[in-house]
Amino acid sequence: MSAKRGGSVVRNSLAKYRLGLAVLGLFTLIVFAVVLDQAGAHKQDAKTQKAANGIATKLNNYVNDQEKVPPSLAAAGIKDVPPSISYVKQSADIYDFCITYKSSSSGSGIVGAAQSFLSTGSFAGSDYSGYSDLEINPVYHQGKNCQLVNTGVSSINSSSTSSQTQTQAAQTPYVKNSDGTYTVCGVKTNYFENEGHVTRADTPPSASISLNATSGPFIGAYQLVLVSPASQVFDENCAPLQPTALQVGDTVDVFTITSPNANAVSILLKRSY
Amino acid sequence: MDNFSLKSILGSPEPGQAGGQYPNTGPRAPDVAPQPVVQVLSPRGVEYVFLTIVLFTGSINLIAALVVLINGNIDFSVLAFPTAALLVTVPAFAWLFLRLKRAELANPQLALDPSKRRSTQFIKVVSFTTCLFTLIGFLFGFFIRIGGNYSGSFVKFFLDILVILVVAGGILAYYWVNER
Repeated sequence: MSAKRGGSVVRNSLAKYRLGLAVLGLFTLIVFAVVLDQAGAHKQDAKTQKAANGIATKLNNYVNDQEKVPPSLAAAGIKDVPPSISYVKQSADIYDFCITYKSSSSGSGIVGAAQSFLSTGSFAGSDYSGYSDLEINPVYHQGKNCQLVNTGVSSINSSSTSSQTQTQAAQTPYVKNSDGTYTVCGVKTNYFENEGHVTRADTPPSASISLNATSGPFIGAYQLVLVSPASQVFDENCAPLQPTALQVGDTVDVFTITSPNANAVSILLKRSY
Repeated sequence: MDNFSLKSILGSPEPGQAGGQYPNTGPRAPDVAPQPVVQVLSPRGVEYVFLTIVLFTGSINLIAALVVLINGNIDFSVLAFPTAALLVTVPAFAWLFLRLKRAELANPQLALDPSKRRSTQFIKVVSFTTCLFTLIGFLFGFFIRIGGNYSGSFVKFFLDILVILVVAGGILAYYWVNER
């Protein structure tokens, strides 16, 4: 009888501890479910990046051998391209190579920031371009990661291949966001800054890019070497200019480019001393 | 039954007798007690050490997982290790904790077991030190913030600190109350 009562006392005394441990176990299961969910995306991204590395090797070899940019990946003999990889020929020299990842290679925390900094020298995202070869960045962010590659195989843009593009962030109405992008004239862009050098400047539809080279550590004019089709030009006060106000090859100090339609804007600038 | 020993069979050599290797030092002084030269844990004490190891491993990874989630970073590579650690340590901790708690309730003398107290005292010292330096870090962060040199989210920083204080402080509070 007393043994039974003792067992009941022990059970009652342990009940509160069992409850606490159950809560801890539930939290563990939730985190486990999150990790399992992320594992699928991580595996898919690993496959995508492996495919992208293979494509980059073939594409670089094709450009070096043929001395031209292929109209499509299939034209370069590249097959089985996953849907997360896209290729767009922008001009005789330049192509846009985009990879869409389901998750980030490193998070937004201390570890992720450290990894990003060690790999790219920047805490910003992984969009970069201006190189003559396609290089797959091992550090990437969730979503679309694009590179604008200027191969410099034709005479028009050959001078731009030897130097990395660089320019200065706008003095016109812009705000640098915490993720490294800029909001220009109230519209968020995908414009990333990497150690003061613009390595990629592109926008989502109907967004803008503003650049200003009249002050700061990179004073000087910049030669525009590429404006993607259907882009529009604004001045530093966001007043619209004529679409023809800025042409490839122009030397510019201050300008804003926006996309008036569903096409994203992509530009590539070379500093002219 | 009589005591059975080598001495009882062979007898003690007399002083100066052949075979007497040690000088006769006379009877042992009554105030000289034997001193243990080998210290071992009691069987329950070993389980308390296991519990301590599991508790620290689990706590550190629980804090890591919570801090990662607070900072909005649900990345696979960041969460994988804390999750693996929690999946192992939480069941192991639950089993050990309930087993030892049941034993303590059945035998209250176990609470006075030196091996157990050594483990719990160590836990208290470590958790107190963690809370102390976490509070110092919080105040330091606060000073940095009001000095305008901290650009991150102060709410997230505060929640990170809170998580550490709740986990480490909870452990300290439990053992503090439990041993009084």
